[in-house]
Amino acid sequence: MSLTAPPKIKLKGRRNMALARARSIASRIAQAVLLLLAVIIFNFVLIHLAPGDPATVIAGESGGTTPEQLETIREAYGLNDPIFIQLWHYLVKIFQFDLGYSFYFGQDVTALIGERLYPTVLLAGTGMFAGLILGTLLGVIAAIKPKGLLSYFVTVIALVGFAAPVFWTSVLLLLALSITLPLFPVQGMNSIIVSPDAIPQIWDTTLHLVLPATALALIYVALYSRTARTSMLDVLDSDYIRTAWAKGLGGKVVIFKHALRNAVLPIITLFGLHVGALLSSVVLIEVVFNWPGLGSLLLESILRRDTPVILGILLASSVLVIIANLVTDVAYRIIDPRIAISGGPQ
Amino acid sequence: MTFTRRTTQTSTHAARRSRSASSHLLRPVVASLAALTLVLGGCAAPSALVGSSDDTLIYGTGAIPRVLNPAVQSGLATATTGTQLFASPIRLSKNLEPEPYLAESWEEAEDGKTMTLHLVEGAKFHDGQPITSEDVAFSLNVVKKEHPFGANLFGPVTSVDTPDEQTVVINMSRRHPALLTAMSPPFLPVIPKHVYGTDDTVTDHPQNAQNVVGSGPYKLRSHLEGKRIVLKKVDDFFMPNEKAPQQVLVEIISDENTLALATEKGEIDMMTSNTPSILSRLDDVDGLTVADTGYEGLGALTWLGFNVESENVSDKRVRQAIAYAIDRDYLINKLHRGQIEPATSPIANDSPYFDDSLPTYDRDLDKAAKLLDDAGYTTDDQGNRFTVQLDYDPLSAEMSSSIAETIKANLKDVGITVRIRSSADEPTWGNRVANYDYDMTLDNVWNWGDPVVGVERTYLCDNIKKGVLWANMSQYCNEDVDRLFKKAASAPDEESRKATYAKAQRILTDELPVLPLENQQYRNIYSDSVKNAPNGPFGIMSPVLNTSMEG
Repeated sequence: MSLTAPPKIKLKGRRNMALARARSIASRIAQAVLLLLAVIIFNFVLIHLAPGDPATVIAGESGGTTPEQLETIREAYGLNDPIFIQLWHYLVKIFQFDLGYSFYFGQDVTALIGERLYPTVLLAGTGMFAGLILGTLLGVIAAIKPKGLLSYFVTVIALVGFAAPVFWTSVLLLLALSITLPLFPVQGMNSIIVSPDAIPQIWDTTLHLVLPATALALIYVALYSRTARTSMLDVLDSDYIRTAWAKGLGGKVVIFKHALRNAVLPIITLFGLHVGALLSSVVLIEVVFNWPGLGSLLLESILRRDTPVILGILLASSVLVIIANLVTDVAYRIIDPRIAISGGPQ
Repeated sequence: MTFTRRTTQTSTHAARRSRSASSHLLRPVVASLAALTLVLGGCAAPSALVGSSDDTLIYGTGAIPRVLNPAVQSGLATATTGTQLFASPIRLSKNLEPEPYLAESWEEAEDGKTMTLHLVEGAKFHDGQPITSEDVAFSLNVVKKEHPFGANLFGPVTSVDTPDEQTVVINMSRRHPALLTAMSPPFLPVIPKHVYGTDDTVTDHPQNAQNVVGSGPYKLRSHLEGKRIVLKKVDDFFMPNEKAPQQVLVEIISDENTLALATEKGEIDMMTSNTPSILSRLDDVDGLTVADTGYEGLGALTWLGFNVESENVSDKRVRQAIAYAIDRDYLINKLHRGQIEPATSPIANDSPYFDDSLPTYDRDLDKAAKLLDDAGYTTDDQGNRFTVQLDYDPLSAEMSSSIAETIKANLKDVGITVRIRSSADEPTWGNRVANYDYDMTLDNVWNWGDPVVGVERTYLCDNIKKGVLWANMSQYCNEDVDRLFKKAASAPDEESRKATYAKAQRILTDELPVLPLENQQYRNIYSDSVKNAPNGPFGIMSPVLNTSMEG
């Protein structure tokens, strides 16, 4: 009896823990839905409170129009309805997974975003991960010899990366590696006319990807190298690292297995946070490199007050941020089991 | 022994751990590279065009067309492609003289109230249907009703008769000297009645942007909104087009600096620019030509528009003082590197109606100060007279903001404080100026070939229309100017038309509802492989029938 009791308690404890986790996940999903709703309403109201409307742009690009034509355009796009009616119509459409119709591009917004999502994910994913890996490695190497030359080099890289505006570094990259040294193409995601074969297509896209991804990665290299360096210096000063050295473990094991595993937590927190701010950097890079993604579409739409497209992209971006935060949570639990046991980071 | 064994064990263990750590580190890198390869594997970009580049003209532009049908939308973005897709009754020569296109000949009645067109035989739409007089009449009526300048282009037209399939008779209430210009490619595309004459209004017709059925030398192969338009040559076009490129790609690159770099690198065959820094830089690049003529029909002007109802600039002496205070020599020769000509008239320098005897308002600070004193704006203790607000169109922010800063510095010299107000986007600026919430604004306006189309709209009293962009936004009204514009619009001959416009220009440059600053120079920039680039009065906004690709 006494032998079988502990497993039951353990089982009960596990069941409670699973229940608590399920409740926590449900609660997080409910919060996410409410947050999304708030974001949609906030964005909608904010954009509609700004002066002017798309009819002005359509008329403007024509070099003029008549009051009757302006009225026809406004009527056609429902711009004469009170803002609450327009908001209601928009919310109804959103719940039917319909993001509306672009005023300017004359295309379904979902299709438009769908076309542009893949290039942005490719660019943002490559740039961010390259920045994360390279930045962390540089930070770690700098932390091993904090007074060494490499450490100062990392500090300089970080300062330049922070200080230089991304459009400026982008143009410099273009001038240096595309015009002066003609190694990479200037613009686009592919050559304007590409080979029908798969391998040349992959090579072509890779060549086009290098410069914009480098411009994006530079931002994150700066950020993560500084964070990794500081975090590693803290961890390397811990008792358990001294113990590891004392046990005679090899340098790689101590640094990469024992120290980095703990030092990487703040980097992951930052990574999750940066996904939200990613779009602002991507917009500029996509414009400079004419990358056919969501960022350039967002800018074109903002300039032309193409409300359905702006709202659609902001919604997609909000969903991405929420997903990124959830993924960050999960990554925390995998990397640091103590967090999983204690119920997650506060 | 034990020590040795332990050391061996430790070192083996450490080596294993080390390998394990390395592999831990490498695993995400390898996985990321593998994932990237997989992701790249699916990817010609959405805009990629698979095939061969032989005999293809790649034209780069930052202008994104909303629709491709110039019958319902004006502007460079639509007309670039629209004039390849649709033919017009008339073409304009280098000297703005009419030439046969769909109409092989035409006669004007003695009283100027009737124009008869004789259409060429054998012309077909892209769906194989013949182009008839019915289609021309339908197109003219659509443009008159739906085009932003429809009333200016075809206002006097009362009816269009079609006595037979090849004859079009245009009846007018009065003489209309601008009629032939109005029937040229940027303005009157001949669209098929059997496609666009359905229940849908032409403005909202789905075939304005996709599956376009045109009448021009190129047909639409694909249109990826905001990125690329692919056109394919019509083989049995009614005019000779053997040398014309098999394909025309309109590649949209919104950042002009990137577009210029792509042209320099040879990724783009041809582009158009009015930006002085780009024109001067690309002029020095081997293998590229910056045309020294072209786009004369546009009559593109940069001007300082005044809201004449606004308190501080309502007196014409103040506007003249501002004109005298602005340093045009600096604007033209320093800021814009001599790539732009000064403007002295509301009619552009290249127009046959331009009067070259108008006041030039060369910088004269004493004269400016005296005019301000006379107008009652004397200086205070700090030398200030008054504050005035200056807006500018954000679509040309790079050029306009530097002009605005120059004006601000220049006017400070005569005691006028300028507060520059930037606008976040085009609708914000448009909303402000079209609703008269401004003192002065920098604006870019096109004459569009004939004063009837693009000049008089800025000054006519009955075109003061609140909320409408590029109507009479200065709220300027002078019955003499109205009378002169109306007289010139129906003048019996060119000489009297020129004389009448000259009188109007003299009044306008004295009263200055707008202060013309610069004649923008739009120019084609193209690689050596482009022969006979379209450097005509409307540039790329005309069919590229005579252009060819070599090498």
